[in-house]
Amino acid sequence: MKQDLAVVLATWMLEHLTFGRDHESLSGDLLEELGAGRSAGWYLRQVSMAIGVGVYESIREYITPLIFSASWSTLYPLWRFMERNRSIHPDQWVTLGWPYSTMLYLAEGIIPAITFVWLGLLVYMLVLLRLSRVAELSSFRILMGLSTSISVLLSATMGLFFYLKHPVINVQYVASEGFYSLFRISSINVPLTFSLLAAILTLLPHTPRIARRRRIPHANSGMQLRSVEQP
Amino acid sequence: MLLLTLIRLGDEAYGVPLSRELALMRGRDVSVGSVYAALDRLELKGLVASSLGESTPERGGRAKRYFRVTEQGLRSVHETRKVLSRLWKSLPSVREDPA
Repeated sequence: MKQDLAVVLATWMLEHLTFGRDHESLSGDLLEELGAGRSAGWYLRQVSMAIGVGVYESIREYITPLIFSASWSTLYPLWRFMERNRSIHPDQWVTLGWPYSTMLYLAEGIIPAITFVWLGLLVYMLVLLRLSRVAELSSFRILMGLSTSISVLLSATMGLFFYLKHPVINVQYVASEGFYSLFRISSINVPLTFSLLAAILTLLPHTPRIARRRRIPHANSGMQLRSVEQP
Repeated sequence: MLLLTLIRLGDEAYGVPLSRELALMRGRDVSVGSVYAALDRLELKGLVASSLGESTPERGGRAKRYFRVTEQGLRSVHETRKVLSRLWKSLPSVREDPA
């Protein structure tokens, strides 16, 4: 009785913890083997391994974007250094009245950061993706990716204001070169890493593109196939 | 190895016979979940295609997923064989010990 309960529980776990993979056929195969004389211990081991493999496969596709985003963010000081020698300086904006001065200070900090993130996104697409996959991207998906990166960056900006714990929010902080580097791990800029990572993951079809299959009554006769790739 | 096993099984290639055949060839038990993960990757590369088949009571009503090697997959197997054959040819022979 206990063994049956363990099998039922393991099957439930397999079908709910394999993160979008094709669990129905897998659990069917394992149940078929169990019915053919395999032990409950074997079944539980197989289920544990299948869940482990599922978790690993889910994480595996995030590793490259994460490493790229973190590496790219380390170049941000160089990016800010390159745009130091421009004619307009933020100190000139204090003479402007509110809300223009505030808006310009915010823009002064956010625009270089977001252009840096978008440049990173472009480099990622050109260097790490095949051109055929880039061509597959719809303009809606690209807009979603860009807008997600802005949203994440704005959230990080708000988070940094809270982190500073200053009694009055001073927007001039955003315009300073080191604002986004306040929250970093070693030389990795955390807000920019998350912004770029969010953009990459939104832009790319990152979930496993397991074919959506239609049920064919006798699929093993005549090798007929009707599989449709999931977008 | 997986592609060759798929070719060997032909039309009957679904999870159970595949893992049994692989276990037989390797001489130890295989994880069915790992076999599915590898097949998913091969399917993404276009080397393998799959379709859902019939469901049976001993499977708890769950459908079988049949796999087959695509033309591209077959070409890839032939290519690998050619490369391996060339590499095998350069293997030096072992001198037999008279003792």
